[in-house]
Amino acid sequence: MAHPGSDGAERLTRRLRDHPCCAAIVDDRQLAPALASDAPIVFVLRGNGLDLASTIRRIHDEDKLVAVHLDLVDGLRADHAGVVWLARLGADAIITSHGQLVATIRAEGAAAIQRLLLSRRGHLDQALGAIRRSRPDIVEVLPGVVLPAVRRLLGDFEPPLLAGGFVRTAEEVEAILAAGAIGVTTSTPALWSWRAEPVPV
Amino acid sequence: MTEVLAPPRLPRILVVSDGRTAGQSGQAGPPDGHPLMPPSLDAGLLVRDTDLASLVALDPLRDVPVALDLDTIRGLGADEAAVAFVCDTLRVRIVATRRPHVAAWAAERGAIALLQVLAYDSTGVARSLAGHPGGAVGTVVSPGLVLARMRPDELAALPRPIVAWGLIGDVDDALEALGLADAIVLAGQTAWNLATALATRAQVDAMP
Repeated sequence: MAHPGSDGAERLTRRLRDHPCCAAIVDDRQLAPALASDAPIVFVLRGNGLDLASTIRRIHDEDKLVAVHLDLVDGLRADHAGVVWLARLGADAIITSHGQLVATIRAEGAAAIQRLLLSRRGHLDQALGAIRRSRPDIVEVLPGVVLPAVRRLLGDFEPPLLAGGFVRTAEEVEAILAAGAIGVTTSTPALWSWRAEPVPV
Repeated sequence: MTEVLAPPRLPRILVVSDGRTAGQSGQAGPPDGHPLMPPSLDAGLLVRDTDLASLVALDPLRDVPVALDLDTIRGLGADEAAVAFVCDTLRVRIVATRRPHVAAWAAERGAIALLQVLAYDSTGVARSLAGHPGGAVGTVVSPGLVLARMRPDELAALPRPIVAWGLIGDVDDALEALGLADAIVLAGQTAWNLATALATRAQVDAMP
């Protein structure tokens, strides 16, 4: 069965086609450079989840999408009500490691991004099983920089992949995209406006 | 007379085992008929995912260095009594844990204590290190494969000794990680592949 996807997920993946690098920010000082860049999506990984309205508005005003990490922002619990809060603030995507929240995120009209945390091979089957059960719109692999080395361990993988964590160079971005990811999340500002060289026809 | 223990020593290779079977559950063990650890490597055993009774029964293996992933031992607490039992009674000399206070207790008892740091991204590592006890406590970096992708300043911030553990699946990965870490953790099959590659390289180097 094809992965069902959602309108929210389709909006995200469409934005990544030209500029596959998303700006991952952990404080307000990074917001202005992120907004000034070509990054199509801003990933808010830290901050006060109860006070994100103006941040989300500023990101939308620059015609960018915003993904908020429910598990990492302060002030919110990673539960149904936390999801509803972020969705009603206008988050286009909500990131979590809690697969049981995927359905709620999608029901609220946001794209569900579930993190796949790679630490040891022995943990991988369990993590992949959890993702197959929860069926997120997008999976974010961390640390993304190792994705090219471990892609074969993931097997057939239905949801589109993002990769984040220790991605700092254009060469790493290219390798990650070549490994099948649709995009990269990075806190390296120099990559936020990166785009692939067009292939000569 | 009180028995004086030799200072603990961290081998360069730790081969993962549950203490009962060869290799880590779900991973390739050594080739058929081979011992878990290749004799040509400076190798020890990393015991994890087992229970207390099996851990106590490990004593015959004491002629090789044994490290313990303390958090994964079923039946074992995460308090000072548990650390005392592991370090003083079982004489495990290398202890890894996710809990900073447990690592500090193990260090106080003379063990090589290692705090596990999940290195998913640079921000997460920085947060983990903020709670690192430092001093005599070293660091397990998971996944170990990421060590070679960290910046020099990030590597320098990791309290030593550094053990790279996780997703080191082939010889090239292992050699790269060995160049940066004090020890690396491998599955049995990968340890044997590394031993074979190093032996081949030595033979080539010895050729006139």
